[in-house]
Amino acid sequence: MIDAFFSGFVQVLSWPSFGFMLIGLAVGFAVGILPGLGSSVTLALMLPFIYTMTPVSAFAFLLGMLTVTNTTGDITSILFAIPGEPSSAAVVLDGHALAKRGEAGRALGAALFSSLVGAIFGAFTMLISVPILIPLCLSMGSPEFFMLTILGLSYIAALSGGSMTKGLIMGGLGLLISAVGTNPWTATYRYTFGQMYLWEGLPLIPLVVGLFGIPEVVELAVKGTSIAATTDVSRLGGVAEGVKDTFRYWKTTLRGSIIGTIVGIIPGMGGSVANWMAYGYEVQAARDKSRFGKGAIEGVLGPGAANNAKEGGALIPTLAFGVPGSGSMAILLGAFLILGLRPGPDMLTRHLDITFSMMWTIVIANVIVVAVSLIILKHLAKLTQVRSAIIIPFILLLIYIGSVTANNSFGDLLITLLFGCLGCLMALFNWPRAPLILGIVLGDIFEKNLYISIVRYGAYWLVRPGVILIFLLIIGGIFYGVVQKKKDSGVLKSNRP
Amino acid sequence: MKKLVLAIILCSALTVFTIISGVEDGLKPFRLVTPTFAATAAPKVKPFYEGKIITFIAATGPGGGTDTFSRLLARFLPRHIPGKPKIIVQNMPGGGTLVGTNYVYLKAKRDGLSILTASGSTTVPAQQLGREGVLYDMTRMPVLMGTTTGTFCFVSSETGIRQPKDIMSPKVEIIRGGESRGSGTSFDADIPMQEIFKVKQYRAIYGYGSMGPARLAFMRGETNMHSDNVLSYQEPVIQQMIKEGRAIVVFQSGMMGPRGELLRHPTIPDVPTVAELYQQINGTSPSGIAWEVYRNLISSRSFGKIMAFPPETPPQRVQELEQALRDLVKDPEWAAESARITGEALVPPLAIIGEPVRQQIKDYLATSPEITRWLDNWVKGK
Repeated sequence: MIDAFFSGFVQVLSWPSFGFMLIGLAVGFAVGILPGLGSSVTLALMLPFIYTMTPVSAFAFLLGMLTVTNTTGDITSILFAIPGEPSSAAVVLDGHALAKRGEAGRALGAALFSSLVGAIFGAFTMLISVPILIPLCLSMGSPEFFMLTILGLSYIAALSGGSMTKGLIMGGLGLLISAVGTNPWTATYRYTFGQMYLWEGLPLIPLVVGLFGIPEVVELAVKGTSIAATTDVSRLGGVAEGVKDTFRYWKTTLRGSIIGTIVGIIPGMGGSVANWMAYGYEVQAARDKSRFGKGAIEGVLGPGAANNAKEGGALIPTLAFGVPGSGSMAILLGAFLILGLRPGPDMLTRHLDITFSMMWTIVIANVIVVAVSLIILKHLAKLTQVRSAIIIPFILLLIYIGSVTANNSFGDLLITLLFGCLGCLMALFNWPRAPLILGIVLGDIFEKNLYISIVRYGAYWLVRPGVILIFLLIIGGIFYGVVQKKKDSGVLKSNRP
Repeated sequence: MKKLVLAIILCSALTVFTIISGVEDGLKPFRLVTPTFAATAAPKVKPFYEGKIITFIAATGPGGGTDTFSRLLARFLPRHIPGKPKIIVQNMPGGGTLVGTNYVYLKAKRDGLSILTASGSTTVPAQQLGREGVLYDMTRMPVLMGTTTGTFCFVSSETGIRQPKDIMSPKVEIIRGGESRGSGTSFDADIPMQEIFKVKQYRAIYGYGSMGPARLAFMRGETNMHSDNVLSYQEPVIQQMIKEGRAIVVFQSGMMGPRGELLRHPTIPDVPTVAELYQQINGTSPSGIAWEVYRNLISSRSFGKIMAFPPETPPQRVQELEQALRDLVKDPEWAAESARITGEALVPPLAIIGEPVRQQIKDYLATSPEITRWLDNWVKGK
């Protein structure tokens, strides 16, 4: 085990694996920054290049690329409120708010460093995967998955930003939107209005890009200033401050990493869920919820860590059972076959050095990218100073290229426009957008697992120990929130003269 | 001075133009000077595909079976086509496989440069059942090749089943997890269990989305029967369960032989087909409408993955490509690489080229309306 641990490290750093990893990093960097071109699509396009590589080189190349897209995906989220990947969407809320306050550097620094910590955390959990995580993975069934989505939905309360009614309406609308497409067990179409485009449901990226990106552009055009309200963007120490925040709020970073890893382990939860779960948890656990959405650094750190930690988690079912934990892992599974490897128990015994080389790739790739990014971050942060007349066409181009590259479909542009209008109205009338997205990303898992739980276990699924445990967690979270609110208002009253 | 600059610019522009327009075209003037040279060279007709690009329109997204199949072909097929064209793969996902298939059928140019790659066991039954959105007629498309797929089923030892014929009397109810009613595995596992063997203690739960989550559900005991692609049979995870006696393989879908008989899939030669197991349990061959439907469905597995031209493509292009495919399957490197990447060598009898596969598709679609109606009702749960 110790041998494999170090041998994996040496193999990643030896030639040509290291060279392939650097190429992978460069590709991943570009893909992450450009919205729309997702990591799974890029992985699939890169598969033909690995035919002649050794397993260590191939995974250095592919995993290096994958892990970097998650890290750099946050950059456009923060600067322009356009998520580069569905997994970076939650960073928009507070990250972009920070950028508007002139603290883009700080937000970027925090996002990158929390990503690094999350990636390392996720990668090292593979070390304990054999004794702890694999049994955990097999002990959770559909009823537990369902309860986890309920836990996620309970964050709607925290994310409503003042008006619970508005939050619940938006969460419900999100669940309804997720129902558009194909019924998962009868394969019949619903809410598709005879449009083939809607058969596979609404695509997430065009929807999120429209919902968050367009209103920001409109606001920018109305204000006529640059993104950052202040002229001095290097205020508060900029990037270095964000790096320090990662460790100052180490509990947030760690919590995000843990949430990301657990969500990653569960196959079918999907990459777009982890960051929202982490964000929701942060808001719910926070004493002062009103800071969120206006530029709370914890709102960047939690999801930043979670979206990188989930890759380490998602590798576990992929390696141990041959069952991909996420979309990109499904394509990585194809890479295994090309390389003549069969995922399964062998990966944790005979091929342990390859498994460890994957872990090291994730760690080393993130260290390199964060180091390189630190150099360019200061200049990137200056983009928030460019005046609106120049930056708006550029942002609009990013938005529309981003939404169309996912499927090359005209419908995606319409979705962006439609949800852009919806987003503007919501921003204007102060309706929260986070619950809507939460409903959309959780809806499909919510529905499927509820159906399976009931059909499989009848009413007995309610008394499974895991279900009761998660239920208590949910109740505890809600109760904690109520008590705290009472306490705070009590403090306010007693302060009154 | 100005004239000199102008002249230099003109000269360089001409040079650039010559380079851009291609070395061959640039040399044309010189050929006029030496006509004897050109005349002595063997008179050769330039192959149609020389310098051209063929586009494979894969009707699914990147990753997954059809995409892998397309990219594998794109790598190996060009060297067997006269003129050695390049092949690129363009993904056109949506509507199951209907968006890509409809596009190639209706809109793609009929010049021999557009080829559909899709899951034939999805597109053809969709046409048979008259699913919403089907705008194509597969019998009008020159299908160039089809490759065979198949599935196998195993049960958990907790059901008390020790050998395949025990499925009739399990100790506990058999529960299978699957994608949806109407998916490939639902045909291969649920129709035999419910309608052919008529196992009373059997239930299928749908909604698992794909094979992976359904397999995990089996591993954690949420379900106790699982149906998977034959290619998964060799996976260590499954082999280990079989070796330890936790999983008992009960039957396979099999594949259609040249005379319409049900054969065992060459990847899993030890597992009985549904017909063999029925014979073992009941002492007679299976018959009846459910069996006819099932047999018809298995015949669609001979075109699990297909490549097809749009209708009205010149017959000469069809012949050239079919010949290229025949040469391809003789290529030992293709056999080795396709076995390494997809799990089994895509050569005959698993790969069927040209007229035979078109005939199989026609036969499948020419089935009696009674069978279609039965299947349609079964999918709708009536």
